[in-house]
Amino acid sequence: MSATTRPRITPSVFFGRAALIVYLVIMLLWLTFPVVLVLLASFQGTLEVSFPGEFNLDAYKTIPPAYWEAFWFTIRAALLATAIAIVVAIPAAWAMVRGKLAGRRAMSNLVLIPDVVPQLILGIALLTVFIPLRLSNSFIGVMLALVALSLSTGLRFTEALLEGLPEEYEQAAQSLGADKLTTFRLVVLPLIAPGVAIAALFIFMQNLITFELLFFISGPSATPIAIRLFSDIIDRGVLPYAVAMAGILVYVAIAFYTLVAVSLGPKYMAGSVMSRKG
Amino acid sequence: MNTSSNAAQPVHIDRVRKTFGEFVAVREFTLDIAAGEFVTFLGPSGCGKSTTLKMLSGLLPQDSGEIRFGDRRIDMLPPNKRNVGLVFQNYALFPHMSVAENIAFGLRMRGWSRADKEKRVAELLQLVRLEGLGNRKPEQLSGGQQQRVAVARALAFNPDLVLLDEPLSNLDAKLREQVRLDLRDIQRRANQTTVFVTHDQVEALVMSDRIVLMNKGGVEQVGSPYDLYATPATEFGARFVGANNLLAAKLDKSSGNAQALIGAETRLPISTCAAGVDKDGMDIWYCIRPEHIAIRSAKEDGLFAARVRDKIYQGTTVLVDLDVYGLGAIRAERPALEVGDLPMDAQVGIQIERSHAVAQAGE
Amino acid sequence: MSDMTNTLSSGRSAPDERDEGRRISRRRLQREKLFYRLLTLPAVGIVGLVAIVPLLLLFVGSLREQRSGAFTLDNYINTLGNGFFMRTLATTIMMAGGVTILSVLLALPLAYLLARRTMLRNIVMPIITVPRMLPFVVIGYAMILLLAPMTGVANRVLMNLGILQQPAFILFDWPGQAIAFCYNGIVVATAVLTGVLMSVDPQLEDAAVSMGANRLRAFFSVTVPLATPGIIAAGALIFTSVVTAYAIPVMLNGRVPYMVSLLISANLLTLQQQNLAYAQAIVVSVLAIGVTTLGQIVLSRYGQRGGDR
Repeated sequence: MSATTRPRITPSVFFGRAALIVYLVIMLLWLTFPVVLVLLASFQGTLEVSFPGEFNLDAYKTIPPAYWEAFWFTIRAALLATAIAIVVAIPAAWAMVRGKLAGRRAMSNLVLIPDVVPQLILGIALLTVFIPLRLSNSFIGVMLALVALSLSTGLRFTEALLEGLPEEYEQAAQSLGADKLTTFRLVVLPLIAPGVAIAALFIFMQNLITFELLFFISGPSATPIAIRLFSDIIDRGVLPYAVAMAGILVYVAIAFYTLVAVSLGPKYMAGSVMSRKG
Repeated sequence: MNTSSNAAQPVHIDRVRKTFGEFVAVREFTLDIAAGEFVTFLGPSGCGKSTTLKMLSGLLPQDSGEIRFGDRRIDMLPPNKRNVGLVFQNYALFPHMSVAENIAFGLRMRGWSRADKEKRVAELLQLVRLEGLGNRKPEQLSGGQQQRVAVARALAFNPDLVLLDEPLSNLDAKLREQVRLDLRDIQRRANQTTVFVTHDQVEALVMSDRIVLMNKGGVEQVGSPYDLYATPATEFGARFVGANNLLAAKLDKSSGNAQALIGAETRLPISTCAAGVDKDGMDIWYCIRPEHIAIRSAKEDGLFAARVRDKIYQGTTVLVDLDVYGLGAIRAERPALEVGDLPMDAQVGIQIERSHAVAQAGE
Repeated sequence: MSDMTNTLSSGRSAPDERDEGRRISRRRLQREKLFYRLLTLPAVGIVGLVAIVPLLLLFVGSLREQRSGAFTLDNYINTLGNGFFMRTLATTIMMAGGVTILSVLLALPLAYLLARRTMLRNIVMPIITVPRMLPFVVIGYAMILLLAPMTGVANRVLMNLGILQQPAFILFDWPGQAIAFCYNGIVVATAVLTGVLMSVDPQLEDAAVSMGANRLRAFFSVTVPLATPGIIAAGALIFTSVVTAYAIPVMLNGRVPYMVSLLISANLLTLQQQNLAYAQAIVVSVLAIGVTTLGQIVLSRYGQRGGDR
């Protein structure tokens, strides 16, 4: 404020400020209530949440093995898909950024397709290929679907990382006697590794919670936890142990947020989450 | 090969050419560099000096022509097989490696043993006067120090040729002056054949054994710093290197000696002529360096009458802008002690101590 | 006399040696290009198998008759000409549009506050990030916990306070779905709009204030126009996610389906009308991708004016 006089607290200013504070409180309540409700319900073992209510771990204790199977299934598929996506994306991105290949633009856009097409549509489309190949209701099928999605995110990340790496480093290494592969191993990889690690975290989380893509190709032998929770609500309504499982997913989400925030620092978090797809 | 003594190599560049589509970046470039010589490619941006450097390093393939280090033909080799040391404008030190690891990188590529590497790194740290800093990371060093690490890294494996691409442009003025001399000293002690690229003509004059003056992809002149300064070969050279007064004139050989005819009647003697300035009546530029103009009292005989228009104090010297009767506007440079109290609009006499003639472009 | 030409050395190679050199380097460059192409092969292959081919088959399938396999446009005719489908599509678009507008309006002031106050942003950051790391199903659970007629928190509190005489049955109906969508919409809108508003130079607004406008006026006349492309892009994102949502419409479904995804999945799973489902899916994705592309075009065309810090 460049004014030399302090603004008088007129009624309108007072109400303006008060309204703003009320708005802020309401918004924060709105943003936090789902997580709070789920956690509260999970510790009360009932659907009738009350404040403060009693505290017990009954819901957690009664989580059936099928749920844990689904949970670990999801973790395994997500881990494997993330790993494959990263391992495939890094050399591909390097080739696209440094290789000066014709049709690079087209290739970039091609790999973006799983991102652009709505997950629901892609999930339905997968059926056309998975059924004849007998990939539906299988770990491999779920993992492949996740790989396609992870690959486009992964490529976007690694392309950006490589473009941000000045070409002079590689040129210097070559002038000092390193061939392309050695340059890649000793200079490029170590320098993009931190960024790749963060990307892997984000991709892993994204894989963990993917739903619409996997819905049509999952089955009794291949049930990601999100789909398990979903179908149980449809078939049997909300059960306390399902809420507990949802609570576990919340803890996983909080753990990941903490991991990313700690490794990046709050400033970077703001930048990356604010982007189009986070 | 774990030795650190290798005789320096001469470099032969034979009609190297590079075009980007329609644009000719480097016309046929031919140059022989003696072993251990310090050659500078000098010119404005876009003249092709960096492109030529990149072709020497192998990072950019040439369209035609040959390059040899001594007897070894290298122009079809990839950069990692040429045995060339490259110092980048932004140093390009590997940020994830220590100073010592950076310097040892070229040795590592050549399979040196650990003991030999350590010894050589110590030698180089001493050469560039950075002893004791081997374990630091590049980001912990100042700009000048980083630059010296870059030089050490390029010299470590005794390359056949050392290339420096405007390495001083990121340093502030005072540091540049100091580092210029440092680099020159290092190069002499290491006895490496060196090509240095810059757009700063003072730098080129200070550091080089020979200068290749380039413009728009072509070579304007090759010669010692003195040659380029005292006797530029072209109009471009006369303008680019150092400050110069250029007066439009016609070559007049009627009296037997080369003279410049300015306007209708004024004839001035020419001290030196560029090659090709020989046809009577041709259009030339009469070039006078500011320091070759003496300012004397108006009452002396045989001098040109002039009026002082402006004085610009520069510390040790003063620039004096003069209106010279019959010649036009001329800028002189005199020691400050000499012209300190020269009043504005004073009438003086000037004497031209030395002059040079180049052909006008298009002749 | 200065030398303009350079000394030429003896011992230049014979012409065929020179060509040999050029051939060697050209072959080397070709091998390099091949090497790079090979590196991109796995990525292209995977995307081809798991995305391109299925989508192509989807498209082809949509053009074929269910039983005979003959090529026909009937599926599209039955989609676009079907009153039920088109009405549901209309309600879907209304739902998506309403949610988008509401989310953006509600989130904009919050995003503004977050953009300008670092301290607040650091506190709120986890609050808007953690929900995006949860499957949407969990949000559905929360909605049920909140809005269920008998057990839900909202109903019980409002009845205890006497505001409601009997429970409001809004959960398994479009209000419940709308609220769930709005939750996600506000989370996404806050995140994206904070970024958008952060990229608008605060000094521009300060300049307007120094020239006499009050903060609100400055916001609307300076910041909002500059942020509009970003706002539109955020809106496109939210709109698309609602149109193609599946989990919430199924979880909170009432008797009358409001969202097309239900129709598509019914055709696919229950009614064995796969090809019809494919056609409907393509119609919906054309809408969704069209809106997203529009948003991206607006963002890239009008995005960066006055927006660089």
